[in-house]
Amino acid sequence: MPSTPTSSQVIARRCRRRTVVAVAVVSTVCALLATRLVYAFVHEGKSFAIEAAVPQLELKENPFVLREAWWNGELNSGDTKIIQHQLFKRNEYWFWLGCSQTESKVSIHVYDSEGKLAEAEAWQDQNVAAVRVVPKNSGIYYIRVAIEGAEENPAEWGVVYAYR
Amino acid sequence: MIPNSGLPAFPRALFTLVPAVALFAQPLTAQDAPATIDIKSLKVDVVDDVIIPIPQEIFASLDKLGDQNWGRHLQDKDVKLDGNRSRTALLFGLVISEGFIAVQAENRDEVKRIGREVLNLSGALGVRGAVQGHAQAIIEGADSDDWSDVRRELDGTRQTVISTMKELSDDALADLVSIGGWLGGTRALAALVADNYSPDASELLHQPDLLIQIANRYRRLPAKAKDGEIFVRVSETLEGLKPLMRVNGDGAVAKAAVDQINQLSTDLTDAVYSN
Repeated sequence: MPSTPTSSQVIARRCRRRTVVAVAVVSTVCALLATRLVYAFVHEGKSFAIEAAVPQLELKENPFVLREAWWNGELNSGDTKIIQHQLFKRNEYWFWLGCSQTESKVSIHVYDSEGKLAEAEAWQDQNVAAVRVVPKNSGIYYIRVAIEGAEENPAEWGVVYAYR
Repeated sequence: MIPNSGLPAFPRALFTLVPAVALFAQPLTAQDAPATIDIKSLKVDVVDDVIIPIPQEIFASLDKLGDQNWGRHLQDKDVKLDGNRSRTALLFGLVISEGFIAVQAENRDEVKRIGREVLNLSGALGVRGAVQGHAQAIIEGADSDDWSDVRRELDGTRQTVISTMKELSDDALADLVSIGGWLGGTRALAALVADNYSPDASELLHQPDLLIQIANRYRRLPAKAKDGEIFVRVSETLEGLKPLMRVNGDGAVAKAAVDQINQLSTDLTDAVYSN
């Protein structure tokens, strides 16, 4: 037959239980905060853009070099944004655009200093699009990004680029 | 096997989807995009963020014109800090650009010195923890002559410092890091072109719009971020460069202009280092 616990044993048991509960609560809060922090640092538009970039970055011969810097913002369906960026003659560039909303349809195109289309090739696949440029001259070029068909507005976008 | 591109686990997991995406991607023709845009009426649609090219982008183009004597234009200057964080940010950008020049010259000792200097400067800017891994990778990359990796780490270092500064609401310092980097790259480019002038090489100095963007950005920095004589010099130099960094009717930047760009950018670089 079990013996009756003394009052000090009861107090010790309660303290242990409270400690376990406190640890569980703190752990849960930390986990939730960590989840939010991770969410805050992952930009889905950029992630999609980088995914699309990988084949060009992994070329066995003369791969493109991805810049760490990137652009991002928000756009309503049907709207466009222009990025101005200096390019250099004799280099070759790829720009990739990604949108956080997978059902959206995005496009990216590059224009020269006179506003004329200046791209060597371009492709799009739903929420990801890319454009390759071989600039004829050094100078500022205009990168036009557009989003259509996003279910939630504004939609979040990211553009990364690489050169070689 | 999934290549390690330094991406988080979620994007890496999507690598396997990339070939499928590429397979079904729609190639576009010019008809899918407007053939022209009116660049004079862009004001409301323009993204405010300016990404300043890293020196390596310019050097990559210059190298396609033939071998360059990069070693001749390494500065190997001692960094002396004075407690002015804005000047430290400019110095940080300059040192990173020196790193790119040292990589071009494949100068192992200089790259390692720059790796250590980067760590020293990041400490003064309060971002040592964020930069430590990059600095170590720069040094290790130099030890193993892995120049591609060193270039990637230099860009990564620069971007880490800029991002960390922005997270700390030190946007002005982030801009000064970018401006310092541009100044260092411009100095080296102008020096190389001045040494061995050719119209093709000089054209890389055609950066009038970028210069306006940089000057506007600098002008908008708060006064407290431009405290000190050196920042008057920065303003004057940016203004002085404006009429020079553009091509003439032949599509080249004139030799005399290149010499002046070289002089102005070298003088300002020296002034930032010596203060």
